[in-house]
Amino acid sequence: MKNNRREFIKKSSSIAAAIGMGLPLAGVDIPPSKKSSSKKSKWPLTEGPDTPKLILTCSLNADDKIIRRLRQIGLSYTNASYPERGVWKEDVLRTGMNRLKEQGITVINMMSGVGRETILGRAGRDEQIENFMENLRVAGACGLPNVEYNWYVARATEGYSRIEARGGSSITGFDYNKVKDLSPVPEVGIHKAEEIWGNITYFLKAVIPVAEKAGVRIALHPNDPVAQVSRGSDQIMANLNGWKRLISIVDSPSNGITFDPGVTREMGEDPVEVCRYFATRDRINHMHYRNVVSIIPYENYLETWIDEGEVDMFAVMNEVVKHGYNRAIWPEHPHFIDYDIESGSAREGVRAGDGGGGYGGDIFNVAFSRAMMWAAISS
Amino acid sequence: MKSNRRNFIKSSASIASAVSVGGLAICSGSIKKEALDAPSKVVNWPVQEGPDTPKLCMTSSRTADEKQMRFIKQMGADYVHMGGPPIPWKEEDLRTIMEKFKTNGITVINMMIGGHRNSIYGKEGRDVEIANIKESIVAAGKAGLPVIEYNWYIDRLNEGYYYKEGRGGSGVTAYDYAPVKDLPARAEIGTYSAEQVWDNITYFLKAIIPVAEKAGVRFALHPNDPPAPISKGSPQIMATYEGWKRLLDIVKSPASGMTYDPGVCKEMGLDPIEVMKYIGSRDQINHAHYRNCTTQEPYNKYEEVFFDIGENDMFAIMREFYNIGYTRGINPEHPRLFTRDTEFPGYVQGSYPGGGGDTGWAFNVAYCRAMMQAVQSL
Repeated sequence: MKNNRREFIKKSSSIAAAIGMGLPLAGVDIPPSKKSSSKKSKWPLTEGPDTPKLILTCSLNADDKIIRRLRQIGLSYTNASYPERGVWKEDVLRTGMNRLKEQGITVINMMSGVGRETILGRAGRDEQIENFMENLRVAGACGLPNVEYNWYVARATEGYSRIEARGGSSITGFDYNKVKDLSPVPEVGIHKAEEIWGNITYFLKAVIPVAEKAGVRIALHPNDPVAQVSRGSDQIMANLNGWKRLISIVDSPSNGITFDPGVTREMGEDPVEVCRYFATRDRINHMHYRNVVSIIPYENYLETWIDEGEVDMFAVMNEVVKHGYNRAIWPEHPHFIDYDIESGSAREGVRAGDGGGGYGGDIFNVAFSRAMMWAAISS
Repeated sequence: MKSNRRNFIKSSASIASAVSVGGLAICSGSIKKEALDAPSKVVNWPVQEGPDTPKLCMTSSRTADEKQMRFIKQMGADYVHMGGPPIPWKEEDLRTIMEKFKTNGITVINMMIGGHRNSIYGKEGRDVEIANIKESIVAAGKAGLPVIEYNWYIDRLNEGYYYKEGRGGSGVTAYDYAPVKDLPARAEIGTYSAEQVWDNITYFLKAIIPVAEKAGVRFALHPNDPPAPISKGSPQIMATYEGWKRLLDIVKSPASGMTYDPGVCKEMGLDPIEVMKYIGSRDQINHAHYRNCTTQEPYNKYEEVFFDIGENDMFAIMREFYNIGYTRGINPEHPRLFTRDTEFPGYVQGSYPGGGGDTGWAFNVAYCRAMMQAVQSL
């Protein structure tokens, strides 16, 4: 059971009143004003074993130019994409990670595909699961700490659109009305929640012991957009109950989630409270850092500029730092500025057609996140 | 005065322990746990600038076109500063410039005034300059321009700046006094003693500040930067903390203030917080920059590095702005050079070696905005 702050203050003051009645207040530490800085930090601050690590993404085969871009924004870690199709090979991963490492960039997270048969519980899933487990073994052997995955029956990306924002920049909007009547994908069909829970349970019970043995954690990205039903099928990772149920399937830190304050807010939930729930259970294995304005929870929202959304980004960063979270934070989904369009940099961004931007937008997000991280660490 | 969450928890926890020590059976353990679990203070995001907050301000030009104004808005900035027109300023000209920005959602918060070389040198012609500046002040007051910034260099030591490679091959502006300390005076300028320069600025301020007070306009003198003690043979009066203090005492008025810059403070080995407290307590910070720096040797050798890796505690500095109730412009100037900017023409302004363009501004503005929002969320 959670107390909100108001209740807490109420309780504290009644305690204080109780003290006042019977006890001298001499020992009570009066809160210092904002004037006195509460902690003296030695600047410049740097990332260390106990801090989160700020990241963007690149290919494992990123050329010098791309690596330079990451370094110039001040990144020492990255998400990476595996450069080929198929099962990961130890020599490819090791070579790629080492090459990046030599240039000052440590790969901290990679996404591994989960086959459709696994998600739908069809014949062929065992082979796919075996491939996933092999990826985990390879990751462990190469020292990759985290593997992220998705679990979509049919993702309704058709609900995204480009929305004009401040100064003619572009942001991404989502409207469930655009996708609610979309018919199921014929080769996928319609799947109900309990069936999908059965399938992911089968998957997790197989892979988590392998992950544990390999010293690797896995992080399930929430269903995003957070439509409850997508092309006729339920989405199990599109509400908080689903997120909580997921981590209970196998009780291990290896079985975690990607925490995203933006997605949390898309659902109308309180990102700080949700962060605390998963952080105290040591189940935030990867993190995005986004802001949104939620118009109708689950159904209609804007992925705003990171400084213009409803999420208190400082409170979120503070919460993360307070729990000693020391994994990745990816301030993803950059927004378009003119620079990105005119320089061609926009084409380098993901979801370029939906108001997602390029390098200029990335720089804005990273600098914002870095300041928030340093502020949280030194506050 | 608001207390931040950590302090709040701390005090609650001590209340809890006081309770437990005192023997009151109010289950102190669970109180403490509640304290740790207590949600953060609820701050309504998006937190915004208001009458009581500083204003993030970018550098622009009075000839800025739609595209340049769009960029400022895309960065989320609503305020700009720029160089003003040649003196004497006319109310109508200022209004035209300010209206152009206003139409695009941007407020001009500060204009730099120039054209007072004879005033700096104490030469014939200074009275004409001063008359023109007075006229400009009156025009500014009528047009609603709140701050006029100015410089006071005998001959600025720009020659000491050089390009230095920063992280990942980015560009950083560095400064070294050694190679330029013996540069001779330019013949057409000559040399001036510090006391001469003080006399000249005193004459200037005593003439213009009463006009500024009456017009409701504040003056901000930018420190000498680089803070070389001697530049091409002449001492620089605004390159020491004593000089800054002396300046503020010439006419003790909020209308006679300074541009506060934590980066310049650090270049001189000063504690930026202490300096801000001093000038702020006298209500003489009339404009501010937000920069970081790494100092190898105070006054003589330093690098204007990325905001996130300099020696200044940029969070503590931002907190102090709010503590002193500063509500004017903060310009996170001097963008660093991202190589990406050089791959496309038109994106590097590059007024300093190692200085950058649009993406450098994106970095600085986002960093500054986050610091402002972090403080407002405490």
